[in-house]
Amino acid sequence: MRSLVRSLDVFLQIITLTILVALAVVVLLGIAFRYSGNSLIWYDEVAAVLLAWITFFGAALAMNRDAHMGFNGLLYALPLQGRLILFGLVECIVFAVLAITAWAGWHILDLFGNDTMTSVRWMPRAVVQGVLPVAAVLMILARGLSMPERLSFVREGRDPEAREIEEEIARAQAELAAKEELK
Amino acid sequence: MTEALVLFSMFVMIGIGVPIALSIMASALVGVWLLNGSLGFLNAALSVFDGATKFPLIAIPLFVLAGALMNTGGISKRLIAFVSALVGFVRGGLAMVNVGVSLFFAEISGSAVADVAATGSVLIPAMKKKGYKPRFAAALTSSTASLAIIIPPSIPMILYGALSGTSIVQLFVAGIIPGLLGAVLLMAMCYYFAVRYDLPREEGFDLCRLWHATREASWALILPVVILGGIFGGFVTATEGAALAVITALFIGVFIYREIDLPKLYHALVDGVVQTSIVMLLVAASAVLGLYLTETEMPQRLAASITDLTTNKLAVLMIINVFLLLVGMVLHGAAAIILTVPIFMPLVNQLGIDPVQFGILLTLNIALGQQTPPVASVLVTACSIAKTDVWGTTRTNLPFIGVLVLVLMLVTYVPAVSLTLVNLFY
Repeated sequence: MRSLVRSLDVFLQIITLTILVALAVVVLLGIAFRYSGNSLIWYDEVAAVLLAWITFFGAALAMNRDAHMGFNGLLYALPLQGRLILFGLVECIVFAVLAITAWAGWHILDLFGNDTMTSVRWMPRAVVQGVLPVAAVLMILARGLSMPERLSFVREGRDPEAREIEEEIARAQAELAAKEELK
Repeated sequence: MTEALVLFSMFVMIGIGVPIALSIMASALVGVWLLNGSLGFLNAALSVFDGATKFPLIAIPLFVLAGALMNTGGISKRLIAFVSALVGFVRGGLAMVNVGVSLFFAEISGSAVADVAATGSVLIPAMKKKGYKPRFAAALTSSTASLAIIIPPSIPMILYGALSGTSIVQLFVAGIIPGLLGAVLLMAMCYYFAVRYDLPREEGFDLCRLWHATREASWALILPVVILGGIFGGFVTATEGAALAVITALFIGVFIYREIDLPKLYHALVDGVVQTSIVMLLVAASAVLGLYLTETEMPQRLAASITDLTTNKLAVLMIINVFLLLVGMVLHGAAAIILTVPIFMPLVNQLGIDPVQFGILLTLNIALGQQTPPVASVLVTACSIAKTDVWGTTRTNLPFIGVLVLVLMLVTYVPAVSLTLVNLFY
């Protein structure tokens, strides 16, 4: 299970970083061409779509790392049984929302027919928006794969926010220690 | 009535630990389903995608990318050395350095926690070693990090600007005076404590050292000039300024300092993408909530019920301040902006409050929210580095929080504080 989570993580890292670099290049090209006197007509539309792609693939990556913003104070204040009940309830809501998003995201693709992007005529709109249901399914996968680990945290009562803070500090201090060694 | 229930269910879901973006999405899905059945779901899928395609928000991943390049390319550490040579000679010098450094760095990676962990891990132990009380070190680090979000480039401002249709450039300009004012007041506060507790100077003022640090940092100092000059001069938009920052930071890191550490850069970028997506998913989900709220006209009715109570701008701003303070205690910054802006904007527009001034007010409230437990991730991070308790540190933090509140009051009641520069330039 761990190795699956890891592979999904690497896969999503590669996708999102590629899109991020593409986005930076597109915006820089946009500026360069505007100042050279022939503005790119596809610049705004393509950049906006790339942002949306980063958003949804990145959201799947964040889901895989259990990094989405949330409030866990109440859950972790409860005794074990209460924590487990809330955990189950939360998972049901999360899976339901993601499943509806995947379903609706898939069904709107039919509505686009042969529509293409306004400025890039060879790019079908269904491909552009198809990222949404794909990402929703990836999020379901990520949430499912990370469930055993998250469940064990809930059992032990280890709050994810405290965990994040611990990890960030440990990392910053490890970096400092590495620098000291170099000296 | 149904709308109130839908919103209430959202807060219940947030309360029991459903991720905030999904809580927003869930309640909005229920809402549109009640209005239009499963057709509402299809509409929601369209809105959630459109919500993520807001052009001005492209500035967020680009600034995060630039920040990662600065931190891994040797730019950040030269700026720290420069600040320390500039203000370190004053009594309580390390505290001053702390304020100065935070102004440059807070929120640059997109995650307040990661930034405080990075700068705090250097500054807090150094302060403790020099005899500063751990609580003081933690409180100061936490407050200055929060103040920095009103100094451009600021992710909360980009978010607010994109959601409310306000010019991000004007927001950036408007943040300068309140930001510097806050910084000066925090430094004055540090000086007062330094005299009272006899805190040390770093080293004597040394023109030679300052010259050396300035020369070392001269390329690094070009960066803010390029970004802010380009944006304020009207040559590029905020988004394009962010892209220029990326290319400049890359150039300096690769060709001038030659310190770019690829594995570290890769990790910083992945973390940046995750932080960006967390915020962007909130934005996308809130587009669906917006769809529902617009159909039910709830924000307009809320505005009407408040204006029935009073149409005094100052009184309304006070009500909003109190409300935002309460929201900030339990919600993280981006989530607080995304949930409150669509609800408050009709009211702000109706009363003729300047949206730029309101943006600064909102951002300052977010900064305050990061200092108020129980949900105060910046403060908690600083406390765990200093190994102090959160509530005790909060007591030490009160004077600094006081400074933030003072700046907030000035911004609220004296529009000139935020708008003078804007009126001058635009």
